[in-house]
Amino acid sequence: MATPRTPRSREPGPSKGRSRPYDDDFASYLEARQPALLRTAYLLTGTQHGAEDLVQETMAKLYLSWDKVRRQESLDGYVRRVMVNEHNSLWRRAWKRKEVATDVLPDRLPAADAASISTNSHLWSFVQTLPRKQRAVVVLRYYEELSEAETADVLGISVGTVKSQASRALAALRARAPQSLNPHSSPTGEER
Amino acid sequence: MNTQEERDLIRSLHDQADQLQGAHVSFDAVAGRAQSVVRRRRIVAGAGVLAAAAILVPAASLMGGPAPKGSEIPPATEAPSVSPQPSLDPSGEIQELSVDVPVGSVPGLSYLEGNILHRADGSTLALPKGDYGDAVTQGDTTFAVKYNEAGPSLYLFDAAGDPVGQPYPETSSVVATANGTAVAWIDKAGEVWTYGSTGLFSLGSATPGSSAVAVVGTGPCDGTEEGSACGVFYNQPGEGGPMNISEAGPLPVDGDLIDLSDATEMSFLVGMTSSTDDSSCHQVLNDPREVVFETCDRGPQRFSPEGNYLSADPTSYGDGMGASGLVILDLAGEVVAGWEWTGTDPNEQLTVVGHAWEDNEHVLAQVYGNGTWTMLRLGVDGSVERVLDQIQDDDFNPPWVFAQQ
Repeated sequence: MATPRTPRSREPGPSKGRSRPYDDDFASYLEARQPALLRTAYLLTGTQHGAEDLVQETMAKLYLSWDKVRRQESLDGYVRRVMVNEHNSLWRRAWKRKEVATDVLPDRLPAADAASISTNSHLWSFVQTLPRKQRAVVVLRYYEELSEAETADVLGISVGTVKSQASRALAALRARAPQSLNPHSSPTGEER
Repeated sequence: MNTQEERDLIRSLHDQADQLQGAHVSFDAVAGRAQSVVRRRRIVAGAGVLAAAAILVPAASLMGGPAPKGSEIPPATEAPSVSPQPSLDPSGEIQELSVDVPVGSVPGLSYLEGNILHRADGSTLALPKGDYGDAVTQGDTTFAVKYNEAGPSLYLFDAAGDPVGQPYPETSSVVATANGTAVAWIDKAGEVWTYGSTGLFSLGSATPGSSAVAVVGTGPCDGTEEGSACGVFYNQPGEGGPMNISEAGPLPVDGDLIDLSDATEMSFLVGMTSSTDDSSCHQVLNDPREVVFETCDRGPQRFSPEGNYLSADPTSYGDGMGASGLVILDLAGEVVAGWEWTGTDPNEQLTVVGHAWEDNEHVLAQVYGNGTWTMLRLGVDGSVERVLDQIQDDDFNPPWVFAQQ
């Protein structure tokens, strides 16, 4: 039989109040890091609600293992890894409910919520059409500005895969957003 | 040094992220969510304890019995020589998933690696280059789903690997009968096609967007007397529920399944009945559509060729980039054998991303971890072998596509 993965000592206390050792420590980390995590989660999910849900789930899992991981030097990297993995997990479950389409590029761009309106929304819209895992590479490389090696470490993949995925993403964006990314294009998309 | 393209992208992402305002996650919300996570894990980890909750039916009902009137597929012309009784006593032991295992023989199932079809007999066939996602071989004909920017299309290839006719656009699945006598798929318009020894045949119309899950029958499925005992099971888009289509027309699958995963020649079905953020529940049904067993602990997926075993995700709750392992169940829902990664270091995580039955007692599984892919052979006797060398792949997608034959 499968061994339970979560020892009893890691179970949380009551949801109200901070009854566990290190709760204040965790709460401080949550307050300090959540703005940045929410922004990354937003880029991964594309909606504010999705970002809050993803960060809540990620931090819940961090909370469960806080006494074990809190002294890790690369705690932020660990949290990023949990968040990206959880994002894929949430997607898998949503896919089973048929709430989310596949990685196939959609004919129409996804609808944005109010928070997604920006001056760069055109290019952002194309980012939203990238396959989910490729998008994770893009967010980590070009938003978090992690190195290829750091991105590979977070995603649990090789540096070569990071390079190829980033290259594919740029190629796809170039093909689908010529005005923004093709320096040889005019604003109408015609070759100069 | 970033290129202009990369600088544009960086600026766009930062501009977009800066638009996010008002989002907040409280400590209490996190702690409450943590309790929910623990409950989920208890459900998953306590599968053995909760196994008694699975609904078991007398062994006699596992044998199927006569199909009642209104059953959605006509009786087979030839009773398959199968026994739904497991040939081994279930051990219930789940081993740690590892790729550091003895090397076994080459796969006994055809598979695509890139555009090269590797047949079980050792021969190979080069198909046009492309990104393939599903395949079936039938004699000299290969059916393969190829993805491009417009989505998936089904192509037919001849013995030389050249395309035959026009592809079927927006077709993402192709299935074959257990004995390989017929292949089936559903095209963009919803027309259900079968292909057997007598050629192409239209079985009727389904809702556009439907996807074939299984075709059952022992003949060519071509509308002749010999080929009439044939049915194609499929899932409809949206909330339509699973259906079966035969020459009698399309009929809903009786029962509570909302998404069908597989069907056998004996017309046993497996599918999902519910799904939430925390878990999903599945049922196995027999031909009269009685519940053989149900589980909210495992995620049963595919029947073995003779229909007496089921491959399954170890948990009904997906966590990470793929399934945490694979278990083999008997038709009482008991674990016969299983493998699961139970480590805690995400860097060492192994996940099973795709599997197929090689024969009635072995599953071939694609396992990903540490940037490498490995194909393992997992036996109902608990044996495990590495059948293809680990390969470094530059993509997230599995390097191999199993081809039903």
